[in-house]
Amino acid sequence: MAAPVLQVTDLVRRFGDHTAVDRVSFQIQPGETYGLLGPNGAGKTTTISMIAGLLTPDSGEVELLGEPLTSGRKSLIGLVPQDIALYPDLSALENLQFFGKLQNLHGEHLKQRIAHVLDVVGLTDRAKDRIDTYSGGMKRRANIAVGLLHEPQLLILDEPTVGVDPQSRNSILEAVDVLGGSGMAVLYTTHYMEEAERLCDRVGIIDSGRLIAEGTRDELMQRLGENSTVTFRVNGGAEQTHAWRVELAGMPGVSGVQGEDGQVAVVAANGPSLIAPAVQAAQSHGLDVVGVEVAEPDLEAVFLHLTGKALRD
Amino acid sequence: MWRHVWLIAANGLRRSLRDRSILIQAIVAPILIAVVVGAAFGSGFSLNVTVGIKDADGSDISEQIAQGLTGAGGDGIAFSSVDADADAALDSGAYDAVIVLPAGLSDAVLSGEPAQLDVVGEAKDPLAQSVAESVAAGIAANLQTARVTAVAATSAGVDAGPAIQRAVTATPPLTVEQGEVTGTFSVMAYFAPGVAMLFLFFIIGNGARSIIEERREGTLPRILAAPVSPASVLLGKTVGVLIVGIVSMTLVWLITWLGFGAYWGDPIGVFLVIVAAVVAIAGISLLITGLARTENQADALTTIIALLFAVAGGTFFYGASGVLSDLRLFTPNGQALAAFVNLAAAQADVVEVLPQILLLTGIGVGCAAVGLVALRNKVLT
Repeated sequence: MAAPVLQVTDLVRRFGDHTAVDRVSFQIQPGETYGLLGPNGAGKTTTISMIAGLLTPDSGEVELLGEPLTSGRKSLIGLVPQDIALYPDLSALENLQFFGKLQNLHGEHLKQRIAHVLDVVGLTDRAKDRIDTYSGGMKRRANIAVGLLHEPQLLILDEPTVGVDPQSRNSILEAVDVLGGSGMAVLYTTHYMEEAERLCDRVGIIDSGRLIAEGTRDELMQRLGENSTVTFRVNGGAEQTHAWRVELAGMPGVSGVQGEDGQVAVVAANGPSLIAPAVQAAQSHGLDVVGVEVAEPDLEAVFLHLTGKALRD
Repeated sequence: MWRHVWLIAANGLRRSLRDRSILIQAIVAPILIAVVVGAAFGSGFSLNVTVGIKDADGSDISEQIAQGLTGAGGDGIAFSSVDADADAALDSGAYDAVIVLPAGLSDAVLSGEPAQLDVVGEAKDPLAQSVAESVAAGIAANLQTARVTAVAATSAGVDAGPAIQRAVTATPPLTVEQGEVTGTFSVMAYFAPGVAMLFLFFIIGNGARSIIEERREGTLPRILAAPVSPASVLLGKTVGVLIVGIVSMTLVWLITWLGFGAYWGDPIGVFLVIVAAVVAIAGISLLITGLARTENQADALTTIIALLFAVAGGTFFYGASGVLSDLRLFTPNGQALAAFVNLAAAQADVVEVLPQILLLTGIGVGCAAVGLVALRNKVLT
């Protein structure tokens, strides 16, 4: 069997007393899109910084195609950072030329690659415009284009849709979908459950620096067992809602409660049977339940089930 | 590696050219200020140099030389005899430089042997020392004439006394190899490099700080995610700021020289002093950037140090005395200005400004070494 494109083994990184990444291990096969799903501060960016060679791990190993990461093998990786890592006073074309040359691309091959990636991200018509004249979504797409330029074996996308409008977000997700289908291995970090569900062949759930679960969507759903998510919409004060949440968390079968004013989601075994006692408890706290919804299980529910908190907490 | 160094330097240059504020700071402002100050001061500075003549020989010939000189002078240059020791005379502050006619001078002349004159001056006033050296060179030429006359007369068996007297008492032409010491030099040739160096601190400081800015904006991690070594990044940034500095100051020089007639002196000497000054300023800027805790702190420190060096270095006034005159020697601006004045006013050649060139280069390389190590530890690891 061929070596995985990326093999991460027991990666650890500490900042002072804080362990940002704690013995994280996973691998990505050729053509696979792997999602690293977790809330802000979970350790996603620190993990990919170590994979890309920007941070030195305190311990653990990163292997690309079966060999350790060295400076010369960095070209195997295409990094798309969370921030727009482009020169705003240069055009997209000039940015691509600069970063392409740093990746040792030259002449006609560089021109062809630039034309190709501009086409992939839909920026051919605006290639000669300065980046600081772009919209947020266009900047994100140009940011991705630089990561694709040198045809990496592994594309790392760090929360590429943060802060973009829905149309650009959809455009980015479509582009990633196409790349994943083209045989390139993709490591995609996000705290948007729906993106992970839509794009990723496998998902690793990371929280507080630890990879707490990993698998395909179906495999992760099995973690929920018979659990389901019941979402209550309520009217009432914050203190009453908090008190109600505490009571809900203590009810039999409840594995997670999230949400504050107005909307509270509960992951529980046999969720529908929870509705009556939960409504009764709400009323006892002076809350008015105005809506109840039993949702299909999703990765958000898995995360809530595993950690007891929401992805966006 | 060097290809990456050049790519990073070229990228920095391209971005600098897009930034019009740099063009204003680097070229327009120094020339404008020099022109305005030049208009305020008139056509040039008048020198006020007093050269002492110390007669340690005590012979008729040395006495005649001293008497001849004390009657000469004018045009901002005065000569007067010195009774005390040359160093003590210099320390008294009454003299800017002292020419010593050594013991045995007349015997050497009359016997046809070469004579050696000494010039004692202070490094803080290179112009006065240059004037004294040019006078000493003139005396030496007269003595050479007297020596040849003595040898020829002795061979011919005739009395050489009158001819020797004429030669030694002739007023030495105030000349050096490149031309006449005029007693004045262009105000613009003084203020243009001075102001250009002040602005260079800001321009080069911006360039040095761009490495921290690029880390904050994410382009530095992206560069380091490519197969590019941290050393290439640091070298590329350094080469970039050096090129910006050298090009901008060279343009100021050429525009004030060719456009406004402000002659800065021997072109090779001027260019080498420009390069050395830029190296020194770049090194200091890298040191500040490397040691400062934040980008804002580096910015503030650069401003303070640039202004301190400019004031202490004599950027805003010529001919300071006392503490300011002493302080000047401890600033790169002062050292560079001393070299520029020497080149412009005393028509010095590159060899005569070599000490300042080496000192400025040494300051730059030393500061850059410490600054780059600090930057590497702070930004690239």
